[in-house]
Amino acid sequence: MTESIKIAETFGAFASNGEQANVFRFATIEPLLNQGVPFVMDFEGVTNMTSSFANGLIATLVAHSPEKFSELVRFKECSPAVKQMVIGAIETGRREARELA
Amino acid sequence: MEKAGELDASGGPVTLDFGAVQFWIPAPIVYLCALILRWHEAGRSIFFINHTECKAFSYLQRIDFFARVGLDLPESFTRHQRGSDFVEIAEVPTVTCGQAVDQVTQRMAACLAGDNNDDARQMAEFSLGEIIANVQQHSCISGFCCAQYFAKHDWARLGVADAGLGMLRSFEMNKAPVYLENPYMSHRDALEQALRPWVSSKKHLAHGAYGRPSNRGIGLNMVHHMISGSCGQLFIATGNSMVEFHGEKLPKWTTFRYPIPGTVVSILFPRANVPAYYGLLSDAHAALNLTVDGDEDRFFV
Repeated sequence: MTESIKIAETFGAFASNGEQANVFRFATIEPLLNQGVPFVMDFEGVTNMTSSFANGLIATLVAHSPEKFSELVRFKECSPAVKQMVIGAIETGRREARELA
Repeated sequence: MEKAGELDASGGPVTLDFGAVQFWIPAPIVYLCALILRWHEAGRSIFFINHTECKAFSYLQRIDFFARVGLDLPESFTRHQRGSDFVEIAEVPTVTCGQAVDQVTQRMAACLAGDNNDDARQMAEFSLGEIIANVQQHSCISGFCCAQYFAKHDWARLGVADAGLGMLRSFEMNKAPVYLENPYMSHRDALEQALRPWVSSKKHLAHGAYGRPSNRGIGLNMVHHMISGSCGQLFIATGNSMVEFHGEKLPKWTTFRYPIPGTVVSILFPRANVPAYYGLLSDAHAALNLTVDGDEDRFFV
């Protein structure tokens, strides 16, 4: 069963606060990942985000658990700009995972 | 700026003469707010003269300047619904509560972009969001922000300022690697480092309860790329150093005789010239070598 997490419901149309993203990742996302639950981050209604938010939510996840992320996490309803930010965060996380290895 | 540093260093009473003030622009006015509150907290006497006679008086009232600095002045005009050419001065709190800051950011971005200009709106939103995050993470004190659109020249302006630590002190206090490598760094060195990608005064710190800090030291670099790519102007002042970027031209550096407390950021762009936001983001990521290696599409459903 794939879980779906609607980002706009918590963060609104402009997801900007990196510290809140950190807390959300820690409290909501990582438990799913650690349980091996596949999930989709749904960005419907999110029109923009900052690099702090993208990195707090996604890059840290990739850096800490690259294999689980690759296997279990997907994104949907991303506008071109949001998709670009998500890709940037994935690449940032991969860079950090290589440094940690 | 030079005068602000001199006044701050004097330590005595301050007299602010508004007699020659005819108009306002965001960055200086929000920095003046931050300075006045700093001086209040230090117990310094502050005198306002000619403020009710100056040509910009009602404008300054409309943007809540006097209210923000504790002057309760009667208004001789009726406040209408918010206009489209400015947004009142807003506080940037040190800690974000709920989505208040996001709402201010979105209001200011909407003012700067006008109707039907999503690219300008998103660029303004991103820039303001990144700079506000810097204030919250590094200044250790509240800041202020404000936005203004000047239709005659199609200038969209925003200003964010605080009278807190400043960049050099933030690097020093957090024992950032760039500071430990160069403990004699100047304010200009600190500003140059802050503009470099992957440099931050926080990202090396021990992980807190929720893991590593969210900032990676790329936000300000991305803002610089976007504003340059929009034929805009970016001014950043901290300590005794100021840098001005005008589009793709080489930066211009200025050194003040007296350092200013905190950091001031001013952005100006012609909103009609803002290119596609997606392209600006792609270019900013390409400059950071965050390029697509071909397998990312599998993450999107």
